Amino acid sequence: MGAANLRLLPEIVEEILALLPQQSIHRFRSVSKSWSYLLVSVEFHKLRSRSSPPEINVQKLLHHYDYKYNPDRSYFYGNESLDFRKGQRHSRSIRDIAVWNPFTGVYRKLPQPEYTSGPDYYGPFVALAYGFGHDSVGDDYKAVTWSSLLVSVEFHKLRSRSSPPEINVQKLLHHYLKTYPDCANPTVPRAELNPGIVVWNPNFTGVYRELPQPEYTSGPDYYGLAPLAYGFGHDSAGDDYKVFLAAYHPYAPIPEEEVQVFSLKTGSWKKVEIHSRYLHLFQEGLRKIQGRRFHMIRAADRDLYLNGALHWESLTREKIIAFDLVEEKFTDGRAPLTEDSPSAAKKLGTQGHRNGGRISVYVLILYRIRRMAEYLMFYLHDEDVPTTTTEILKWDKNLGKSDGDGVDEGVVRVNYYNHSAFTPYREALTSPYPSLVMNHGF
Amino acid sequence: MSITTENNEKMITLMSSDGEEFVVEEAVAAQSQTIKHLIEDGCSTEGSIPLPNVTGRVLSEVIQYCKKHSSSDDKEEKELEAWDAEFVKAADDHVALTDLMMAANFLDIKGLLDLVAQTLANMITGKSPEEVRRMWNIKNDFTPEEAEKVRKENQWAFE
Repeated sequence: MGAANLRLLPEIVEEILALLPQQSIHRFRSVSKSWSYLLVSVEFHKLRSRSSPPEINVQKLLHHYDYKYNPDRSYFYGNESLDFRKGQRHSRSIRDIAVWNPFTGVYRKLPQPEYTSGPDYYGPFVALAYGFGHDSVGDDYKAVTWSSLLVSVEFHKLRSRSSPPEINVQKLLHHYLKTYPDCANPTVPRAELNPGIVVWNPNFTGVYRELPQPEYTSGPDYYGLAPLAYGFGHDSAGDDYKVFLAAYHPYAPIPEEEVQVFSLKTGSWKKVEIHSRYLHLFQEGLRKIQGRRFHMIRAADRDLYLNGALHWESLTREKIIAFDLVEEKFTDGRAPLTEDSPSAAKKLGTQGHRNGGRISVYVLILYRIRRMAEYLMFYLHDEDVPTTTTEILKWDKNLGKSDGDGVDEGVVRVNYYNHSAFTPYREALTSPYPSLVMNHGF
Repeated sequence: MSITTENNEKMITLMSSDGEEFVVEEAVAAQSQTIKHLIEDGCSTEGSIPLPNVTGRVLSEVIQYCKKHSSSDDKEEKELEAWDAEFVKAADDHVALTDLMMAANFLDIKGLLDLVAQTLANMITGKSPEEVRRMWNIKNDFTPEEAEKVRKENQWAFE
């Protein structure tokens, strides 16, 4: 039988491809439409997870924040800001990091890193940022954690080394805090928001690049600027990687915003003119908390890079904001889905936040008839969560829109109360079809 | 027709798509779940079992594999592995391997299926999409725009 007569039955193709490493699977999406479809299907990944050890497939870092605070200081992390004036509530610091494979539902807790710098009495390190990425050279998955004391010592050691090519840089690690002693109480470090930005290349361990501070043109310098949103993505036209930063003056009488874009190629920031319509999207959330002298920060990894544009959910969660990295301008927050797009659904982003004992996870999904749930981000560990298990799944239809060709857009909103419910819940949420998930609650 | 050897082993006859007949011990043939079920259903009592999807050349290889695997026991595992490696090596190219895999799939011989699947997977792991298309005559049905889009989405896998 010659090659011309070769018939490959679909089930045979599947058997063979399920044995391939991740990289080959991505590459072979280009072979044909049927292969492309197969390789993103949930069924295929289920088959694949049977034939390969679960951890290999781990695709997402579950990051979980920890914080420790007392009336003298407040730490900002992620979407949450903690008002020191409110709080005598001392959280015991928990710093588990787990990676989770959305297809198998297997998660793996990573051991604690051994910190080598800093005196112990400062308490545990405050993890400021996490990153997770695939090392395509070593076919490995790497997680990085960025801790406050590590920043000041280890980071500068790293910085003094020469950097390998940054072209593969895949992940933005967002801001970190700078600690310095409080004058009134020198043994207690005081945290000040310092929006340093670091990009990290998962392909090479320890390759970080700190970006220079942008030169803000608006507002008096001494106000300092606080970040509203970060983003990181690839500009395919210029073959460049770009960092997006929207910042504002938190203490200015009238908030002023600026959007700047950093090009890794040119190594410089550029101010982007923004239409007030889009600024408004970032401001919405801001207004709500105005007058309380603290502000919300968007964690960098909650943006979503998709089709050459960065996407965020607006702070009031009513709109999607998109920023085109090639054109360097804001666009309508809709990811183009082509008629034959093999991916049935596109996740626009996930976002979680905590409000007291309640943990909410928001997922934005662009979905078509054949729907596919993508991974969610969970916050694990919360000592305040009630022991009763109450979950609410809500599909907010009002937030969605339909453009008549089968492409709907909407926000799946999940309020998540209790982390002991994590296991059964995780299964529901990773069901291949969001509609099934919805059926649990609607 | 059923023949019994001097060892009292029941023999059955398998007929390939091109009319070639193979007389094998039932225990050997029954490694194929498909044949096993046919025997259980009484299909082998008269004449030979026709296998319309498998050519004589491929069938002889399959029988070779089944013979080896029915005569070995656990303690020879290492030796069996080495034999398997030689076996797929002898199959030589992806065309022969694909034929073998199709046969293993039809005959439902799990061990052989896994062995050949892994061999083929190893063969294509580092290949380009174009090379894979050529191997199996897969038509590239993407428009240039779609191809570019898919490639971009998976760009890191090409680096």
